[in-house]
This record gives sequence, structure tokens and C-alpha cells, in this order.
Amino acid sequence: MYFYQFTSGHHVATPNMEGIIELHNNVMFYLILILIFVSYVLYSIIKNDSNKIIEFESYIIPEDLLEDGQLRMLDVDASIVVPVDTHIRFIVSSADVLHDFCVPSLGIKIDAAPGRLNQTSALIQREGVYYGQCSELCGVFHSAMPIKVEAVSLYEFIN
Amino acid sequence: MSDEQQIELKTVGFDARFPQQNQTKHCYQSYIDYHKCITVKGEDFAPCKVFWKTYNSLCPSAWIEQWDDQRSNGTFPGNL
Repeated sequence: MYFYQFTSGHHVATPNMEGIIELHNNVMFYLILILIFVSYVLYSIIKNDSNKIIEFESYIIPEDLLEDGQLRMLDVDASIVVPVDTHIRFIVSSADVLHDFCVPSLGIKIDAAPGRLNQTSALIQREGVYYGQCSELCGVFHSAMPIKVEAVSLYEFIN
Repeated sequence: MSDEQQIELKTVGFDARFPQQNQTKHCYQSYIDYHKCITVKGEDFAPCKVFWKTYNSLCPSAWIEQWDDQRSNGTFPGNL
């Protein structure tokens, strides 16, 4: 079977070949569509960092210093402020004994071991306040080690 | 991601040498790599900054201070 090449660029007119060409065009179309979606998703993954290092200590608020509306055994003086809709890398470690960084509403429970850096990531989609507590027995004050994560808009976070 | 202020939030990307949860070696290795880099290439060599950003992102500041002290004492446990 010979294929005649016409000047228009259309190579053959047999139904077989036309079908193959159409299949090829369809496949390429969907492939490119999928590739566009995949690259969009990949592009929107960023993680959280800044050139400045923010260091702070966070302590539980003792009961006699609680203000109205604050939660007993959960509220702290310095919460962890993070932006929403941003991938965040958490590196958890400990200075003394085993602890556990747990914020159940964000699906985070990660052991804090001395001499070890554990990594996990989170993407918080809703602004708000998320509480958690230490989940590894660590001494007398194990029950008094809450975690408070505050998710704010990107604009608020930068300013 | 970028406002009018052109601020970009970015952190250390994925490193295939350390794919799992334990990033201790990643932090230690980039600290060593940075100091080896500036020894060989000088402090103004821009690509060394990548290691600097990595270890500043990953390592606890207490560790970094301890290692800096050890380096000035000459007791740093590692090849620099």
C-alpha cells in the first residue's frame, strides 16, 4: 500500500490512516491538558521560610492569669503564627527528654526526641486557632505543655 | 505568595539524600558543607549561601551556637 503525499500536507486518505491521525490528535490533546494541570499543581507548592530567624518561648497561661474566654490548660502566651494556604515544614526536636508535638486538628503528631530532627509538613486551609497538647510522657508538667497554632492570612503574616 | 512587597516564602527544597522524616544528618551535613565551601572558595562565593540557608533553616539555633563554639575551640566533631 503506497501513501501519496499531497501538497496540502495531508498524507493519505485511507480510513485507517485518518483514524490513526485522529486518535493521535486526541491523545496529544489530553496529554497536554494533563501536563498543564500537573505543572500547575507542582508550581503552587511552596514552603514557609524567611531570612529572619524568629525565636521564642511559649508557656502555658496559669489558671489565675486566665482572661475571660481563654481556655484552661490550652492557652499559651506565645502562639505559633503561620500563614494559610502555605506548605509549612515543621522540624521538631527536643532539648531534654522525649516529647510529642501533637495538633490533632491539623493531623500532626510527631515525636520530639533529643538529638534528632523530625520533619513533617502541613497545609492549613482555614484561618483560625488550633490547639494541641504534648503527647509523650515527659515528667511532672507533661499535662501543662499545650501547643497553639494560629493560621492567619499571608498579608497579616508578613506584617 | 508575592505581594507588592515582593516577599517570597521559600524554604529548603527536597534533598534526595535525606528523603525520610529524620533530617538530623541533613542539618549536620549542610553545616559542614558550608564551612568546607567557604574554606575552599572564600566567604563571598554565592553558591555557598545555599548551604548557609539550609542549615539555618533546619538546625536548632542551640545546635548552631554549640557548633560555632566548638569550631572556635577546635573541638568540632567532624571533618572541616
